[in-house]
Formats: sequence, C-alpha cells, structure tokens
Amino acid sequence: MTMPLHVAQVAGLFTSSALAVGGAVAVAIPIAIHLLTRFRRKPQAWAAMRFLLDAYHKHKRRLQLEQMLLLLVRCLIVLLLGMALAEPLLGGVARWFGARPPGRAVCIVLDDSLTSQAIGGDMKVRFELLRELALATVDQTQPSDQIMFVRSARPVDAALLTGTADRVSLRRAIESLKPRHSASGLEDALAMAAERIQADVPAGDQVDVVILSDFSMSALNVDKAVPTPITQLAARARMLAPRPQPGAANVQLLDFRPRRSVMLARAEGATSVPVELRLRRFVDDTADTLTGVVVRAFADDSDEPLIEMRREHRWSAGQRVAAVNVELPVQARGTVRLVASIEPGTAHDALDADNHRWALVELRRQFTVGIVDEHKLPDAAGFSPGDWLRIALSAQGAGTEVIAVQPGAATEEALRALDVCMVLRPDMLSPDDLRAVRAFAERGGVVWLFAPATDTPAVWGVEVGERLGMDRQIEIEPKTHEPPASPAIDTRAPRPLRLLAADWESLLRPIRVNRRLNLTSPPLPTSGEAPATAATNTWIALADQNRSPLLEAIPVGEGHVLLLTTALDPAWSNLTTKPLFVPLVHETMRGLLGDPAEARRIDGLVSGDAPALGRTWIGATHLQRVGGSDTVAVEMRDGGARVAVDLQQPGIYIAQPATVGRALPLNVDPDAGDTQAIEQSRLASWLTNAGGLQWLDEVNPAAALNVVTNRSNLGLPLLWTVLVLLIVETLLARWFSHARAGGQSWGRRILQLGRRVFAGASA
Amino acid sequence: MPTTATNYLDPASLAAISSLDIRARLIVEGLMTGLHRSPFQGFSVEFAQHRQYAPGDDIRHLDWKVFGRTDKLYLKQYQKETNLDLIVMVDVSGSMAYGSDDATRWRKYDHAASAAAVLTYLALQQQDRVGLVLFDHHIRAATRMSNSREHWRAVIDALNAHAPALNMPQEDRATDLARLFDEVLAKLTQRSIVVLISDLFDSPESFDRAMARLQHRRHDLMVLQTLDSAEINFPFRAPAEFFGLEAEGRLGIDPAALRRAYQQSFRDHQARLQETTRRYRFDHLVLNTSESLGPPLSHFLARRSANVSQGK
Repeated sequence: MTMPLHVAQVAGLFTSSALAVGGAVAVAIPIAIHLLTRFRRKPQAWAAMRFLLDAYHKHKRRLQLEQMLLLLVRCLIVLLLGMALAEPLLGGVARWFGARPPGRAVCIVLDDSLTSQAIGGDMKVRFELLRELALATVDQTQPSDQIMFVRSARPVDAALLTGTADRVSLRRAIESLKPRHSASGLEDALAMAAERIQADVPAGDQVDVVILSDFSMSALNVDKAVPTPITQLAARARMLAPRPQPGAANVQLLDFRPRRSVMLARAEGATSVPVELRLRRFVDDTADTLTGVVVRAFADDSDEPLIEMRREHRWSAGQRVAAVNVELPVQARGTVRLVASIEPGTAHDALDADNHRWALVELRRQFTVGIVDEHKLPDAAGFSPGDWLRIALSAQGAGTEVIAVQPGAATEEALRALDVCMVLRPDMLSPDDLRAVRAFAERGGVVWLFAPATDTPAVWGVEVGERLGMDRQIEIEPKTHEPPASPAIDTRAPRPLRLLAADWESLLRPIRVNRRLNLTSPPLPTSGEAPATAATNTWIALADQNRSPLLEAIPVGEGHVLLLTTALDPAWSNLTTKPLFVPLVHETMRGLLGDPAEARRIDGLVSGDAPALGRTWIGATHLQRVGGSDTVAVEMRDGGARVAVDLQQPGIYIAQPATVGRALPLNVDPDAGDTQAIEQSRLASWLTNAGGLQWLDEVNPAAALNVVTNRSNLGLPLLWTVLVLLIVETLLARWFSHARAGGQSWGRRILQLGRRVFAGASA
Repeated sequence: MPTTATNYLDPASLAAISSLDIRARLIVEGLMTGLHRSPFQGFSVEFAQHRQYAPGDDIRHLDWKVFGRTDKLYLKQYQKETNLDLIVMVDVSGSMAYGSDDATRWRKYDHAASAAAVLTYLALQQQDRVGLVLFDHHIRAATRMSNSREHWRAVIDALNAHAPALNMPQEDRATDLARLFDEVLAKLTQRSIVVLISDLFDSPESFDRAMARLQHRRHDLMVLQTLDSAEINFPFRAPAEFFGLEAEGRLGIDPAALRRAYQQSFRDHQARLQETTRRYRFDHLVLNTSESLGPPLSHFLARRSANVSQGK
C-alpha cells in the first residue's frame, strides 16, 4: 500500500472515526499487560531448577512464539473490536485497498466577491448566509465523498480544488473566510472546477457542483455563452444553487480622479485641484433621494486632511449615474492623497465597500522643458520654430522653465533635469543624442519631435525611428497638400487633451497643413476617439481628412515620443498662428507628463490585481497600505517590480522603504458592485447548459445533497471476526497449556462471564 | 479424630511438633505396630540354610554330615543377627529447604530428618551400630558409629544443628555423589547398610557412579528420595520468577506454558534413578512430603524385611 496513512483517509473509512482511533490506541492495552506480566513477576523459591531450566532451554523458542501469537491475536481482537464499533464503510475500505467503488465528488463554489458584502433584506451580510450554506453542504457530505472547494472572487482561489475528504479541516478553512473586495470570477471558477473534475474525478462518479452565490448581476454574465469546459461538465454534473437574491439598492462611487494627475502648484496660496467624481446607483431609481459625498485631501505624510469638502447630489427619477465636480483648494506640494467617500448612513445603499475611492495628484513647482534646436541668430524675416515654441511655453508665466540644448550636446546628463524634451531638429541628432533621448523617454520622460522646417528629404527619419524604438516609419519625401489639408474634426479629443474637449472642434477648424511628413502606420478608425491601437497605446491627437496622423504619441518605455509631422513654419502649416497652438503645446505636455506608462498601469488598479509596477519601483521591498497594517511583498521580475500577491483592500499603497518615493491607489472595480439580481429564468437557462440544475431548498438547503446511502458497513462481519478470534484465542491458550493451568484465556473468561450473566438473568 | 499414634504421622501434625526426637518416637510407635522383624538383617555367623555346592566354592563350609547321609555336597550358610552397621546419609543442601506448603512450612528436610531419626532409633533399639552423615556437596557433619542408646541424642542434635535454610548462601557446585560415597566408605570397616535420604536432584551419572562404588564394596543401600508434591506436579499458574535454592540463577516464565515440559524432564530423571537402583539391586523409595511418613516407610521396611527373610 503506497498511500500514506492520513487522518483524512482514515476519516473516510469509518462512520465513527473516533472509535476506530480508540480501538487502535487500545491495542496498547494487551501489549502493556504483556510487558507488565514480564516485569512484575512474583519471586518463587524453587528447588528443582534443574528440570525447569532444562524444560525452558528446550522450549524457549516455542514459548516465545506462543506468546507472540497470543499477543497478536489479543491485539487483533481489541483493534477489530474498535473498528467494528466504528463501522468501517465498505467503500472506504475498498478504496483503501485500491479497489474503488463508485463515489461522489462535491465541488463547492463560494462567491466571496464584492457584492457578497451587501446586506440582504434580512439585514444579514450575504456572505454570512453563503458561508453557512457552504458549511451545511460540507456537513451533508458523506465520509467517502471527495470535496472540492473554490472561491470565485478574482483572482479565483483554487487552493482547495484538489479535493479532500478531511471535512474537519475544510470546515475550519471555510469558517475563517472573509469576503473579498474584488469582482466575481464565477465563470472562471466554474471553468477551473470543470477542468479539475474532468481530470481528477473518475468517470462514473457522481458529481455535484454547489454554486453558492447571491447571483447579483456582477457575479455572472448570463448573456455570454457558457464556456466550453463548463458545457463538457454538463454530461456528468448536477448543478445545485440557491435561487438568486433579490436585487439590493446600492449607491457607489463609479469614478473619482483629478483632472490632471500632475499639476503646477501655485507659488503662494492654495492650488485649486479639480476632481471629477461620478456616482452610480443600482436597483433604486426613485426621485429626490439624496447622496452626500465627502472629498478629502491629505498631504503625503499626514493623517490630518488638508481640506475636506462635502457635496450633495439629489437624484432624479430614473437617473442611474451622476457627475459631481469639486475644486479642492490644496496648499501643499508633492504627492497629495485624495479620498472620496459616500456619507455613511446613506439611504438605499446595501453595500458599503464601494462607497470609497482613492486617487493621487502630484503638485509640482514648475516644469522644465528642453528645446533641442540649432543655434540661430535672430532673424528679421520672422519667428523661427524655436521662437514659436518659446512664446507658446512662456504663456503660462513662471511655471515652465525652458532650457536650450544644442544638437550633439543632448547627453543623458543634460536631459536628466528635464520633464519634456522638444526636438525641433531631429535631423541633426547624433547617434549619441538619440541614445540619450531614448533613455530619457524610457525613464518616463516626454520627447516631442517636430518635423524640421527644411526642404531636404527626411532621410533622418529611418534612423531616428529605429533608434528611438518607434514602430512607425517616416517616409523620406514630405507630402505636399494642394490645396492645404484640414485636420479631421469628427474625432474627440484624446484623454490627455480632454480639457480642450469642449472647444476641440472650433480649435481644429482653422488649421491648414501645406506639407507634412508621411508616416506608415496602422489604419485609423473611421470615427470616434483615438487611440488608434489599443495594443500599443499609441494615440493620434491630430489627423488629416485622410486619417494620416499630424500629431501622434508613441509609447517608448515608461514615457512617450510625440511626433508632429508638420513643421512649426508657415510654409508647412498655419498651426503656430492659430489659437490651438498654445493650448495644444501645454495640454499635450501636461497630459503626457501625468500619463506615463506607469501611471496608466496603476491608475486603473482594482482589488484582485497583482500589478507590474515597472522600473521606477525598483528598490521597493513591500507596499504598506496607508491607515492599515496590511503589507504586500514586492518582488523583482523581468527587470521590474511586481506585487507578489493580489491586492485586495482598497486604499493608497506606499512603497517601502519610503525612499523609493512611489505610491499607488487601489479601488474596487465599480462594476463588481452591481447588486441587481440576475433574472432567475435566465440564470436557470445558463446553469442548465452547465449541468442539470436543481435549486437548493430554502428551508433545508443542504437536503439536496442527501443520498440514500447503502451504508454497507463492515461492523457486523468484523464483530463476527472478533468472536472467531476469541474462540481462536481460547483454543490457542488451551493448546499452549494455559487453559489447563487455570483459565488465562480471554475467550474462556468472557464465556464464563457470559455464562454468569445469563445465569443471573435466568434467576 | 481418634487419638491413635498413626494420626500423628501426617506431615501437618508432625510439623506442629517442633522437637525432632518426639516426632521420631511418634513415627516409630506407629511403625512398630506393623513390624515384627528387624528390617536390618545382615551378615550372620549362625547357620541359616544349606546351598548346593558349586565348583569354586570354599570347601571349608561344606556340611560333611549331610554329605555322609545323602552323598550330596551342600554348603552351610550362616546368619548374623547382631552388630549391624547402619550409615544414614542425609542431604542438607539448599534444595532440601524447599517446602510448598506455606501453612505448615513442612520442608523436605523435615521429612528427611524425621525418616533418619526413625531409622536410627529402630537400629539402636536392635543394638546395631549407627552412624549419621550430613552432606551437601561435601560432608557437612558426621557422627561416630555407636550402638549406645544415648547415641540417638547425638544423631538428633546433629540433624537439628545442620538444617538448611531458604536464605542460606549457596555455592554453585553440583554434588558429586560418587566422590562423597568414596569419602564415607573409606571410613567403614565392615559391610554396612547405607541409607541415603535426599531429593537426588543431582546428575544421574554421578548417582550411577556412586551406586557402582557401593556395590563394589558390597554394601547395601536404601535410597529414600524426598520430594515435595509441587516438584512432582508443578501446579503453578501465574507468571513468576523462579530462583534456585542452590545458586542456579533466576528464570522468569509463565509456568503454565512450561508445565508439561517440566513434568517430562522430571519424569525422565526419576526413571533414570529408578533404573539405576534397580540395576544395582538397591531399594528406592520416594517419600512425598505431603503424605504421611509412616505408611510408606512401614510398607517399605516390611517389604525389605520380607525380602531379607526370603534371602533375596
């Protein structure tokens, strides 16, 4: 038997395992008696030792053998008696010896996602009810059942999906569970369970899949087709599930973010930080319901709010989503933590976990922009591209510091102090310059390339494209538009430029482009918002009527490379003289500074994610949640930092040691808080496709797992065996001369006792 | 219970009498009621009977008168009624201290000493010379040969003085009966009757050699083997640790399991002893300490007396 002796396996063998263990322990009794009789013998003076020694030496081996045989029989009697009383199950024993009667696998899928924290109509937390159901299910299983357990909140926790017969440990594990903040992955959990069942549960075994969920809308998308692994389960599994919970009214913070994640702080006084806040409600859509929201700002190192502002929203009938804008006067610099909370005690709100959201905003003293351009003496004929750029940058006052960088001197050292590097003469960059510029972009900087206002073919385009790692090809021959081309005005402003969204069309309309560089790039969508390719996060701010890009942002490393395909020269376009130019320069610059790759990665983090943090987090060993004691380890992988396990508790996480200087906000997935109920018939249809569906009884939910078991225990045969062994023991003892010498046999003693009891009863 | 002398002969009664001489007199009193002739008839100087001549016989004992009357050659045989020498050898080794009856504390030695006292008393009553030898693996004590009535007191004193005890320190030495008999016989000047009273738990080979020496010296021997009933039946049930009384060591066993084997070994030993005594034509009597001493002793002496009278 290669199977190691395991408590769980023993538990599967008997109806009452404790008695079996007691029997096993009681084997020590005959052994103890045997040893005691060896060591505690009465001394007896004896004259005829000669004959005794002679007899002993002749029969020493026989005596030892007889004693061991008797001891063995007596141990067996005790052991088998304990086992007989413990009622060993035929199936369990057969499995123990390798044979395997048809069994049953019970797979419990427990939905511990965000909506399980909602309070139901009976004022109980839904998760508590689901957990009680899970425990009742475990209690209802048979000792021979193989129990599989999976938690369906993302990421799906399948640690106990391997199957166990140890109900005590499983029960303990379930009792210690708490609901998680992440969205439900019920579909994934079912698929994983289905695959595990197909792999581990022998064909012919009964399979019961117990899905314990509130079946809120966020739990399962019943509009989608049932995944293939689950449909394969349908042939052999029975689905058991409680009926869907009625929808619970819920108000949540759908979104909360500052309009800019990087802002210039005022030199004096408070800086106004505009934040956008969106509310959403489920189930309840009555009018005149009030929802109060409090927004607080905290300095990086303080628990006292810098400012706290309250807003109130009165819902209209049928209104589901509402926007609230708040201007927070913040007098601080550095990273500021922003927290928005729906006021406690809000009516028609069953779920508190989605009432809070966190965000970060960086308030900076100034931006530093480097302009890489050839040195030119002032030209009476007009403004050079560099002049136009300086004028545009100086429009915001002292907030922007401009540094001139000569081509050939654009070293990494020179670029290190910059936030943005604007290259007016990319054709003059040396290979070392290009290497430094690329390193600058990869660290999170913004590089803005402008088409040089020259008449020469753009032979530099290939080298620059390759050396900067752009997946775009700049054609050598500039394209001339006759008549001048106009930018397409039917696209919305891209996200970094969303502050211009209101005037976007009017700003674009006067722009004319005479010449531009041609880029070979993926085709643009016919309408709608750029970015063109979600895969590369490339976005196009401006394009002509033919969808050829005029201004395109290409991610490189943690930063961006922007390419304006027309030159800041009247011969190429009238951009510099139109109202769009100044806001375009500033908004593009600030939008991209607050939107490096890292910011994009961490901005949308939700509970259940284990994000890759990137190279700027190198050095961090763990994350510490502000206001909490929970920490999460950070590990280095693939040249960057990555959170070791999934983050669950929403809040602001700060990298430790603090010298790393990084932080990230974690919020719940607002869609995970959809507490609307799935329509029962649609759920039934979906689950039926996954297997024969049976609703759990509301009064006795676990009754569905009752099976008319043929207990087929071996207790009675074992009792007979014990009786036979008693007779054997009596005969052996008699044969070994014990009985003749005075009734040492247990069997004889028991028979005498029985005879006495019988005689007493008769009397 | 009738107060006849035989009532006092069972071990339980005898054990209550602490004085050995009184004990012996009681036994003798019961013994003499069925004994009409001396059991110790030895070598006579008076005519006893005729025997047909065989070539090689000493012609000095030819009865010429019978030859003259019948013309046949007969030898005259003689009978000696007095001056018998009786040597009583009593085993005082550690094994003789054993007694299974905890109530009476009647040991094998008590039985042996009583038998020795009785026999010496009877011999002294016949004016025979008596000597006592006490031995274990060598001679512990010995009395001189004497036919004085007062000598019995010396015998009784010696038996009392050398009684073995259970806790007596023992030497791990086997008794060599042959060597022991050599020592005893060396002191005898004439043919004697030797009475050996012992449990005879020594090796049968040694016993055989001793018998051979006695026969060679033409002495007569009476073997009174004193055994406890527990030694015969081995009735123990509970596991026990047996320790030998003659430094044989300790042995922890379940006696019930070994009972049959023990009895077999014991029976084999007894059979060899009996075969040896039978071969040398000596008398052998087993005295069970749980039984009365008188009847078997009386029966034994009567039978011996009859044998003597028949010239066997």
